[in-house]
Amino acid sequence: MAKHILIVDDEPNIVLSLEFLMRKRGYTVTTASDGEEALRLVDEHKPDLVLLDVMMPRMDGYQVCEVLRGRDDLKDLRIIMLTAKGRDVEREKGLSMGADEYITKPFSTQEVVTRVEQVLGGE
Amino acid sequence: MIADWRWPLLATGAILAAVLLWLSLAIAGNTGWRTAGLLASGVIMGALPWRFIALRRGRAERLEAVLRGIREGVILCDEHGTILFCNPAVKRILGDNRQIRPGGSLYGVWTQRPVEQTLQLLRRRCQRNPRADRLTEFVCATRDDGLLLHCRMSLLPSDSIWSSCFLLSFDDIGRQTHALGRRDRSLREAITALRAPLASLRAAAENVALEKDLSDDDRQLFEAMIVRESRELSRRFDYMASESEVVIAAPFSMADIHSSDLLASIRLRRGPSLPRLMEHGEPCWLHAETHSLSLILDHLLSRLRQEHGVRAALLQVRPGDRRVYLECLWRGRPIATAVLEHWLTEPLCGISGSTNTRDVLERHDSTAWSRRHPSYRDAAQLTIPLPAARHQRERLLQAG
Repeated sequence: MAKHILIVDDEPNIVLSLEFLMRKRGYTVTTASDGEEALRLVDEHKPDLVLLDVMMPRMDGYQVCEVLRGRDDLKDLRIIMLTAKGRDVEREKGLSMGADEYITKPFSTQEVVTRVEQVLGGE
Repeated sequence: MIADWRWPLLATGAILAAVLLWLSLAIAGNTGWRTAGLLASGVIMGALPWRFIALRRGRAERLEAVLRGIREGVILCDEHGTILFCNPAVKRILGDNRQIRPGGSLYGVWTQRPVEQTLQLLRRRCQRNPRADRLTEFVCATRDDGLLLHCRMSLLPSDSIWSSCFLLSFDDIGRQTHALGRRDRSLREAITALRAPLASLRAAAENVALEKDLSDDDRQLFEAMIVRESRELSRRFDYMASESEVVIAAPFSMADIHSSDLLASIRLRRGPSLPRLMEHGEPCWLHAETHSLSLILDHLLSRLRQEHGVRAALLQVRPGDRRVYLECLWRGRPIATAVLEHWLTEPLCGISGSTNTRDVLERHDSTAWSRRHPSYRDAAQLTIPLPAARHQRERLLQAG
């Protein structure tokens, strides 16, 4: 059964590219454009991995990560944070908050694919 | 040469001698001798103190001549903050209307707390190690209009008659700091704003170039995206170019501080608004805007007590590669991200402009986060990474 990836970003173009990329690799993909929608879709689809943008309106990626990591029923869920915040200290914060990986924008598509495969393969 | 401290004794002795001479002649009743005695005692009474005053004035004038050429303001104060001396630059920096003059109080213009804290920290440092540096730097704001001053405080030699006094030199960095802060923020925002379209552009370009079996529809979709994102990138670049002036790398007024001094200064002024604080672990040196940092710690700890109900907390510093991690640990739940974000954006008291905790942390290339303690599930922590002092990093490197 194909692994399920939820892509969460408020930039439609990056969502489109990532969705295309992941579908080509055989993953089932769902997309959300903000944090609240992401939480709803996690409950609805129980994805294996969330590609989560940090800077989003209403509820940012750190808040989403905090909610997801606070739930015992989602302990197998993997989270990769994607962010335009490029400082080292932000990366430390993301990983401390419970993300499995942290990728800074702009990124190479191959790098995203590799990280996704590593994180899902490491289960 | 007669030592300075003996002149007042000599002058007092001479005055007494003159008074006694005049009295004895007056008793003798001889008008001529009485007049001569009066003149002699007048000369003695007048000459010795004036010799003393002239000597002191000569030295003060020489000192003032030296200090007149110094661009920074220089003030000599006693331990209570009473001004004993100030140079002309003080007036130039602070303006004519300030009550800064010999005999006045430093705290009429300066905010008392950072000055007293720094003095206390400096004295503690010198008590701990008499050979330690007797000078320290800090940033503070004037009381009435929040003019931001970069100050250097030094204790005078412990074997001098001025040992209880301190010397404060300062310069106005408010405008510079404000401009640097704005430029720093603009640059950071501009870099962040460029990342999103660049990410979309790169992903679309790589999809076209690297993905095999791309359908015509997909190709057209990504080609259109490349054009759109390139234009967006150009627009943002033009905006950035027009907005940004020449970026001059100038450091904010940071200074080295020992973590034990920083934590002690917070603990010593602990009021009912802060949790009961205990220190844990080995202290180390960090590099920070001391006053701003103590203000944000005060702010976060008081919020922790008042809004999060934490009554006791453990403070510790953990040295890392380039940073020192200031951690506050307590029994209970972590601070929710949204709540912490709110605390970070609240304006700070005691600092100029609309500065908030986030601004101060960003100037330290830092942020803050809260999470459950990795080892104790019923405990939580607040982490603030801060730049390590240079010699702290050197010590770590030497330790291997």
